Amino acid sequence: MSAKIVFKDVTVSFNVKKQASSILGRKREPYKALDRISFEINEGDRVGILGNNGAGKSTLLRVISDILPTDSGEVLVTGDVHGALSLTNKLMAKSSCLENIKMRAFYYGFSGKNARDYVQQVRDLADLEDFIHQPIQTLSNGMKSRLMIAMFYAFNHDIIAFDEWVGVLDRTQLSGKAGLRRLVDSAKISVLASHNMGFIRRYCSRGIVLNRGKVEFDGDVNKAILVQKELSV
Amino acid sequence: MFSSISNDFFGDFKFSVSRLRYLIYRSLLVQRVASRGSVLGLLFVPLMLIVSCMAISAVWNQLFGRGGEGYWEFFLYVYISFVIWVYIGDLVNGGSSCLIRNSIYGTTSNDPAVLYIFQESLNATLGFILKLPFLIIVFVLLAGLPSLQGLLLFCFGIALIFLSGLGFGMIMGAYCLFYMDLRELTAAVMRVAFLLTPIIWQVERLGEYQKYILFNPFYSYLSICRDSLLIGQVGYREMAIATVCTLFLLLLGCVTLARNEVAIKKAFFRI
Repeated sequence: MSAKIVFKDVTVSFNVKKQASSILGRKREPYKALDRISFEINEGDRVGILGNNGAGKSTLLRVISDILPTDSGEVLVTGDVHGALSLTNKLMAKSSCLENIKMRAFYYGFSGKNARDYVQQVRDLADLEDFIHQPIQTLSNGMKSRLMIAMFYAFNHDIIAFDEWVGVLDRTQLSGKAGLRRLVDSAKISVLASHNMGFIRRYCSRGIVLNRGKVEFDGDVNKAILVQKELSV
Repeated sequence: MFSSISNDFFGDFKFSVSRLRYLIYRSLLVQRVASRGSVLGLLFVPLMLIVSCMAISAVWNQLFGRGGEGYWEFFLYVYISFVIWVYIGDLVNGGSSCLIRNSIYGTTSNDPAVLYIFQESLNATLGFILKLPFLIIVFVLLAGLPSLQGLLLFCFGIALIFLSGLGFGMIMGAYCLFYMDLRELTAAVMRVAFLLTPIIWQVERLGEYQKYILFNPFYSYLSICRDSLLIGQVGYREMAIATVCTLFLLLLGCVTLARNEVAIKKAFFRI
């Protein structure tokens, strides 16, 4: 089955606090995070999501990942989607790396030999043997991200949506054996949101620029970066 | 494939059940983390419960003017009641606050709400299971081996409590997320319920008002588990009330979650 993402006139709004909370209640006003956006992403696409803070990048990834409901419009996602939206997604900070890897194996539905194989594969990829019994909360952000990428990579997802946290990766984490490059290439569709233009240019062939919840540009990644630079000025 | 958020409660329920191994392992880690740093480790909570029940029994025996007479019988009664009550309390308080506590995960993961509720119920159940060996040892030392019928009724009672806790979590977990005051209200109700339920006092003390105790549903659950061990049989009215309450809570819980799935996902972002 081929992977595909289709957005048709999708609108998502939040009720945001415009004033500080008072004892009697909190006044909220609607804010459109995504405003009637439409696009289509097909198998093989490597898409970079660009935009200033508050443009709607994270909201878009959350809708793709089936985390956030839409107010209107239609979302169609074909394929197993994994939203890598947080550096410590589903990890237990006070438990060790090995315990977390085992837990992830069970979460993916592995048992017996399959679970053991998954754990071994993640250990090999993450290359964190010196820290494998250390609690997650004692690891650096770079180590955590290496572990996360290894866990994603060892379980093949059709669609992967990355948020900003990939910005903490160093050179070896980008191109090493548990590197982001391999993970991006392994998925049928990859969607990456970042403020790092070089990063987007290196990994993506297509760019979608968001501005105040609307699609400002959708096309070649180099042109998208130029559009984003103009918006940033 | 989905259009906006997938709204398939039974699919989510099935997914959660299929992740039982994950949920049990996670619960084990939660228990281990909670006892990390303690010299006694996982033994700490069950041992402290025995110590506190012994102290309560001593004070109560003095207050009721019984001196040392019947101390160990009363201790056993209080200890069994406490073990069951702590389990009920963990299920109720944990279930009502689990979606609020997991809201941070809800904004970054597409796990269904029912998975978090399963997780909380299993945490409480594992805490209860860790106390069971101590309960069995104390019971055998003080009252001898329980009857087979009593043991089966005890297991039935625990199953009813687990299922009720799951149903309650599905109802109150969702509504506490929408109306946060309910969480505090639930905790307050549980504090009052502790005093209104025969845990540190015996139901005979109610005298002519004894019949009204059946209006307290906690009594029926407690009575099934406690009486099955202490006297080897259970009243049919308590059994009927607990079974009906369990079925009602489960049904209402499923309906509540199925109807509010999208609202729950939105509420995670509102907190």
